[in-house]
Formats: sequence, C-alpha cells, structure tokens
Amino acid sequence: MTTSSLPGSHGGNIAATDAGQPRLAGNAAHRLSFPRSSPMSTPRELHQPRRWALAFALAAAGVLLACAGGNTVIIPVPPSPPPACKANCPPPFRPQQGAHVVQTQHFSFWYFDPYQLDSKDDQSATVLAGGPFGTIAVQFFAYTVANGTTPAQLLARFERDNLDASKFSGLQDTGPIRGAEIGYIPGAGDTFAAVVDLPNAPNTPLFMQVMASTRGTTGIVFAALSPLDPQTPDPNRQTDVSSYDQMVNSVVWQ
Amino acid sequence: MRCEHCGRETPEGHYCAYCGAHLAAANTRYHPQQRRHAFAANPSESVYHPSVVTTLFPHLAPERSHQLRWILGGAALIVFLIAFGRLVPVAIVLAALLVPLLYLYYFYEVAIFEDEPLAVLAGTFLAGLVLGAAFSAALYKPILDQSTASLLPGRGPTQTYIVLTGVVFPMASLLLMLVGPVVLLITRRKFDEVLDGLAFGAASGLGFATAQSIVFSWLLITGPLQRPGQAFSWALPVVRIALLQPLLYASAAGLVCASLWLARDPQTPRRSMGLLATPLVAVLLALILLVAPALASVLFGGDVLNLVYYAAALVLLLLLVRVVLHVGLVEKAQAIGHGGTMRCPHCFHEVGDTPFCPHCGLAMRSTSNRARPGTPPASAPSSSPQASGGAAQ
Repeated sequence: MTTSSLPGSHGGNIAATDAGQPRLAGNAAHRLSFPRSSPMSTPRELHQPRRWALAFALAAAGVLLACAGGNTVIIPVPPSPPPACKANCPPPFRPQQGAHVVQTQHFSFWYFDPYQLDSKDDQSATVLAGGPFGTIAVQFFAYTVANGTTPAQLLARFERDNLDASKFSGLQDTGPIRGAEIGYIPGAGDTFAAVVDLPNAPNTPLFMQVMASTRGTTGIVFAALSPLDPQTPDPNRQTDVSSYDQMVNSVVWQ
Repeated sequence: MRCEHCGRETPEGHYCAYCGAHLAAANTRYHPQQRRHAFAANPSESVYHPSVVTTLFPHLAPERSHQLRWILGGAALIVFLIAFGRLVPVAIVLAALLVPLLYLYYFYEVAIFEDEPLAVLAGTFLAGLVLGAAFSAALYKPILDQSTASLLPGRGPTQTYIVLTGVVFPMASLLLMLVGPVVLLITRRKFDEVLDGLAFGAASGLGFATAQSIVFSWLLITGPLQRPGQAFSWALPVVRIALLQPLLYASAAGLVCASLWLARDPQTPRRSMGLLATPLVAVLLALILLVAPALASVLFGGDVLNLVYYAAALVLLLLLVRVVLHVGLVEKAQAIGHGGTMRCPHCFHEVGDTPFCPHCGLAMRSTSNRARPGTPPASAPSSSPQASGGAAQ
C-alpha cells in the first residue's frame, strides 16, 4: 500500500480500482439487487459520470438558450434606443385623450393615459404607468424652503435624502438636465442610471431624473424612475422624456 | 475492550467502533455518546463548527476537503475581482456556476450517484435548474412591476413586493427545490443514507440558485461587458450570488432532505434523535431561515447588510445541518457491510467493518463510495487482501 493509493488522495487511481462499489450494510440484499460497477471498473463505466456531467452542462446551456430565445416573452428586454433624430423630426407624441388633473395644496399638474394616479396628499403626488419592461413612476413633491434657496440647493438636498445607493448597483450620475424647469419656473436637474439590486428580484436597469425649482418659500421637486432610458428620441414611446415634459410643463404653482 | 455505553467488545481506540461513544471522554465535559466535540463526518471538528466544506461535502477525505476549501476560496476571490473590475456579465455567470460546478465535481469524486448518474443528476441538479428557471421566469414580471414603486423616494417597499420577494419567493423556492429529491426518495430506495439525502437536497438547491441568478440577472448578462459605477456596488452583490445564496439554498434543501432520509430509515435509533431531525421541524426551520434574510433585505436592505443577513442565516443553517447529520450518523449508525477492512480516510488506520473508526470516531458511512472496499467474493474469506484492501490497491 502506497501513500498515493490513500482514499481520496488520487481520484483517478482510486476510480480505476474502486469506482462503483456496492454498499451493503442494512438492507444488503436490496443493495445487491442494484449492483454498482465491479472493483475492476472498465473505462466506459468510469466515463459514464462524465458523460452525464456533459449532459448536465448541455441542459444548463439549453435553459440559458431558452431564456435567450424566449426573452421577449419570459424576460422582457427593453429595446435599444433608436438613433437620434437629426432632421425632419416628427412632433412629440401626445395623447389626444385621457387627460387627468391632480390638485394639491402647492401645485397642480396634468397627466395622460397610460399613467394612473397612485397616491396623493397635500405635499406630493405619484403617478405610475405599467409597461412590458416594468413600471414608470413620476412623483412631484412640494417643500417649504427658506427664502433664497436655490433650485440647485433643493436638488442636492433631495438627492442626499432620497437616493439610497445601497439599493442599486453601479449608481452613476449621468449628467445635468439642461434647461430644467417645472411649470416654466427655471430650476436644476440631474439624471442617474443604475441597476436595481434587490435579492429575489430581477436586476434591471433603472433611469432616474430629478428636477427642482423654487419660487419664494415654495420648492417643487420632480422625480421620475423608469426601466427605460428616457433619453431615447423615439417620439412614439410613451415613456420617453417628452411624456415627462408634458407633466412638468403642465405644473401650476399655487 | 468493552464499551461501557453499549456493552459491546470494541477494538482498542478512543471511540467505540459500534456506538461511536467517546471512550476517553468519560470524565470530560462532553457527553461521551453524543460526542458533540467530534462531528461524525469529520471528527477533527466540533459539531458546532460552521464549515461549509465539511458540512455540505461530508464524503470528502480531509485532504480533499482542504483542497476544495482553497479552490472555493480562490475561485470566489477571482469572481470578486472580476466583479470589482465591473466586468459584470462574466462575474455573474461565473458566480452563478461556481458552487454548482464544484458540487458536480463532488458528485463525481465520491460517486454519490452509484450506478445511476442519469436519475440522480436529473432528480437533483437538473430538477432544481429547470424548476428554478421556470419559477423565476414566472415571477419575473410580477416582481418587476413592483420593484420600481418600491424604490420611490419617500416610500418603502409595497406590501405586494414584500410578500412576493420576502415570503412567497423563498417559501415556494424551498418546496420546488424538494421536488426532485423527493421523487428520488420515493423511486430510488437504495439511496438510503442520511448523507445521500443531504447531497441530493443540496444539489437541487444549487441548481435552483443557479437558474434564479441567471434569470434575474439576464439583462446584466446580455448587457455591456463593463458597467459604470462604483466597483463595490457590483462586487458585493456578486458575492451574494456566488456564495451566500447558493449555499443558503443548498443548506436549506439539504437540511430538509437529510431529515426526510432519516425519517425513512427503518432502523430504530439508539436514543431519541431530537426535534431537529424530524422533517416537519426541519421544513419549518429551513423556511424561517430562507424567509428571514429575504425579508430583512427587503425591509432594511443595503449592500453590506444584505450580505450580513444572508451570512447569518447560512451559518445557522449549516449548524442545523451538522446537528442533523451528526445525530443521524451516530444514532442510526450502521457498518458499510464490506465484510473486510478499509483504511480510515481521516486517520489512515485500518478499520474493520464497523460503523465507526475506533481511532478517530469517523462514521464510516461518511466515507466516499469510491473509498469503500468491494464486495468480498462469497467463497473468499473476508480478511483476504483482495477484499480488504480494495481502497488501497
């Protein structure tokens, strides 16, 4: 007996001598009715587990391919944004019906189908639109601020208080929103991109737009979360930035 | 010498070769028969040592366990570094496959499937993989619809989201992970050892975890090779995908299956095996320890906190699994039945056909199938070199 023949130390050699021995204890007779390979296992028998390991790998690949092939049905994959329109661009898409108004203590605004009012109180309102790639959420918040507070200050405070980086992977500030305004009151805005990182939930991209404006002692913050990139220039998409524009521009400060 | 606990003549050594009692521990603080200081599948560790390798890979000999520990740690480090480099698709795929591939190797290394690799792999890995993929895909859209609303500023997760991801998903996952092993339990009665149950449950859990990780991360896998953002925000979730989630699923399903296999074993235990070894209690504990980290992550989540929740649940589950395995191996101990002698893979002493190694206390049924000697020919004496030294030829 050599060291190299110790059990478990050299699987290949051991496999060549012991692979597939029957276990006999207890219901030995029962076990013997299911004989494993003999002590002198043939190469074919030794390769059998590898064959099934290969079969396992193929089946795993099959599951992956099934996911890939059926991803439009099983896993909704958002399409890539089309190239930007550079000339003869069509007008922004605007629903002709289904307009609704939300009135709060500090502001009112209009929203259109397919958005639906989710919640509303004196200070805030939330509208949601369900889609094949997830839910798009738009929120308005009203704040009482000190006279002289700038939109940038309100924006920074909102982002500090509400953007919980631990809930996202790869949270990235993707730049300011140029010409940000709420109800035609100039403001400041930021865009963010991230991936939702929650256990037992799909890891999907998420795009966030935040804008803030102030007037006197009132500040309004607009926040939108979408699984689609709102920077897409496709005017036929309900969830692009133009649908946000419709709501933002319809805000009336009270 | 005579064992004072079971009254049988036992070979010289520290442990009774028949009941596993620690003979040298009569005056110590350890209960000699329960011998909780010496885990039956690896006597050099306490039962309360939450080791992943010796708990979920109990058939491996010590040196193989040591190698596997290094491989697992090294591979996890590589996956972490890849994720740290924000090569997200590569990191996620490797993370999802890491532990299942090691377990597949373990299946082959110790020949758990005996002569039925197809049935065992289909009833464990494949069943978990297919059911995990189907279930995750089925819940993908409902959870997705709730996740955005749960991230809105100033609002917590919706009730539907909490119930779906924190309660329904883990509970249904456990039940689905048990489908394949339970079919094997019913149809393949020759796999009758408690460690068979553990391995089958763990493999099914690993298949399920792989499918869940791949389905839920599909948009990342098919997305850009390198992602922006902070490196840690990618690396920490990948650690959960690579190690904590699969090991948690494997431990939960393994715990339940081990208790099911113990319950089916017709042999009367020497003493009461305790509540933990009963299937109903095992199912309840597994459910609680699957739901708790998921619920905590939803309600009080965060990158680091999520890891803490999952790691804590994993440690508790590993301890429960070890207790059930230990109790099963000690209280329902049986000899392998080879009729000769074999070399103990733990202490390398020659051991007769007894339930325990008298020198180190290893439950001989925790040895690899490949290490067990062959059946002695009916006409040959059991002590013949052919029969007794099969493992050492």
